[in-house]
Amino acid sequence: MNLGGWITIVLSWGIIIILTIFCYVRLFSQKRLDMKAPLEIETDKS
Amino acid sequence: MAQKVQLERENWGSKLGVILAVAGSAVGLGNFLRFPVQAASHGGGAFMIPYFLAFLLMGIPIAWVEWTLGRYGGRHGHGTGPGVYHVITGGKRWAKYLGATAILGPLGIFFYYCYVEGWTLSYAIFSLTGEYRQVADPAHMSSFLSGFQGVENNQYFNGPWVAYAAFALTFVINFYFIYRGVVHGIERLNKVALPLMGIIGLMLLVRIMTLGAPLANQPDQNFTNGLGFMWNPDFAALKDASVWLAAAGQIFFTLSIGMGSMMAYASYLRAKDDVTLSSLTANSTNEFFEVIIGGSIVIPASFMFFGAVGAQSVAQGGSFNLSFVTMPLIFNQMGGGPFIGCLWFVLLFLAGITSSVSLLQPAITFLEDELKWTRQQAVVVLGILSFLVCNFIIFTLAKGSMDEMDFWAGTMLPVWNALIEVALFAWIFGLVKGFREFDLGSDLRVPRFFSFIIRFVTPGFLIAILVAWFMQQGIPVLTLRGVNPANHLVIWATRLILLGVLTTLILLIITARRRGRFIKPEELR
Repeated sequence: MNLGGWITIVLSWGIIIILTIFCYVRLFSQKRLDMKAPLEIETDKS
Repeated sequence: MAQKVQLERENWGSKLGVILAVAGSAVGLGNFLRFPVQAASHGGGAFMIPYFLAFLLMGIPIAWVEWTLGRYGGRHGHGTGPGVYHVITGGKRWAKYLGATAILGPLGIFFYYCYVEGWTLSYAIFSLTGEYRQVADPAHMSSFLSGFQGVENNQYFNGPWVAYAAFALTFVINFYFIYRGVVHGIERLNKVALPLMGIIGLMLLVRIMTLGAPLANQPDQNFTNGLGFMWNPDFAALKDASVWLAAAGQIFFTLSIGMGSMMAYASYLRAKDDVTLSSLTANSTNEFFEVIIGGSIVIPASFMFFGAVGAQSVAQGGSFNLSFVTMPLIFNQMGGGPFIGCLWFVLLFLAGITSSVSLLQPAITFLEDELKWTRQQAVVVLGILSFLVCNFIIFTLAKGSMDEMDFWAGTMLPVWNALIEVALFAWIFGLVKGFREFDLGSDLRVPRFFSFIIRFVTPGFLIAILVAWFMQQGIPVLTLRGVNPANHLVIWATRLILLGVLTTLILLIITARRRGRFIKPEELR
């Protein structure tokens, strides 16, 4: 494999690995979605 | 009212579940077979420049649009083209009929994909039982495949019955998961299958990397040079427009854009579930499987065992040859070949089944949403229809029915569907409203420059692909150029089947409209 090949593979793999890690870290660092703010809690109006 | 409708729809059990389901839908046989062939034959590493540009300018924005349209449609009780297009155009009379092709496309692909999926299951078992162990050269391995497919009777097989049994099993497995529903079927399947595919893919990668130079008399045929064969850039290739087109096409297929599955899956999101980060995560997962695993197995392995000339001819031989002829020959020469071969075909089977269930989902969602059928009714009717058409494909394979179905359902319709989606989203729904929808519950804000991309660049890309493919392939296919006259009847029968399904879908849309299933424009506002 020549230098161009190494650069291409490192860049391609790098972009994808960084993007994947970024997405999953961001995904798992979100707050729990099932928590509701007080105003959003449904109350029985009957 | 929208809230009330939404309560009747199923919701995904978790955010990771829907991401894995969409990624599972996208990761298919093409990730491991089509991508390496495309890259190796279109400039090697240089191919990645148009590939990443197409990913940024077309793949990511269309995926955002599809997820957003799906979630928006789901809020109004619609998860497929007809209903979603109806609501985003404010109830335009013609819009719902445009959506018929968004159900026809994935269904048409399922009609043949399920059979191919059965082949991978059979070959996984053949690898362990040593069925193709004694086959030593490409000509005989091709003959083995033809006999297995039932294209010819030979010393290996007498009719397509083994392939048929595998198809029947695969068919039942697909409908089992569909019948179980979004959470208990599709989500559970993908939560197991995707991590398993990751593990198997990495195991295969490690095995190929540690082969060294497998042929003692060819020390240069090693993994590093195999990677070089695939990745060394030929920048001169970028002057050729077909390379850019091939890269855009690959991005299109790999992300399952325009299939309708992503939209149907997203319609089961809750009203304020994130779509932007989830979509990007599913796309990046797909890219991991494609570029890192798919790009490092078949072509480097072919180079290591057949050399540069052999690998070149393998790349030109197409995906099926690569998977069912070249790879078995490689496994026959490799230490631990039976086990590694089994892993390879299990990987393909898992990639196939996570995609094929997603191909069925738009039709199921349509029947449930617009005709208010129960899942049982939808599964039974769709099962009967699919079974009949699959049988037609199986028994007319040698006469070109699969290629014809693949051209219309798998090549032209997804591009057409994506173009319709983006055009309606950007030009009729409007980007101000569109970005508001992107941002609703968003965990990742879409950069505003994507407004220009979605409005002009993405549709431009899609029109270019559609026109170029129609000119290059559409006209020869339509006029049956180079097709054996003996096969014309089957080709026309395949077209009639597609036309028949399309007509049925339009009639069902009319029925749904008459039953008042499409919300009136006044209620939309």
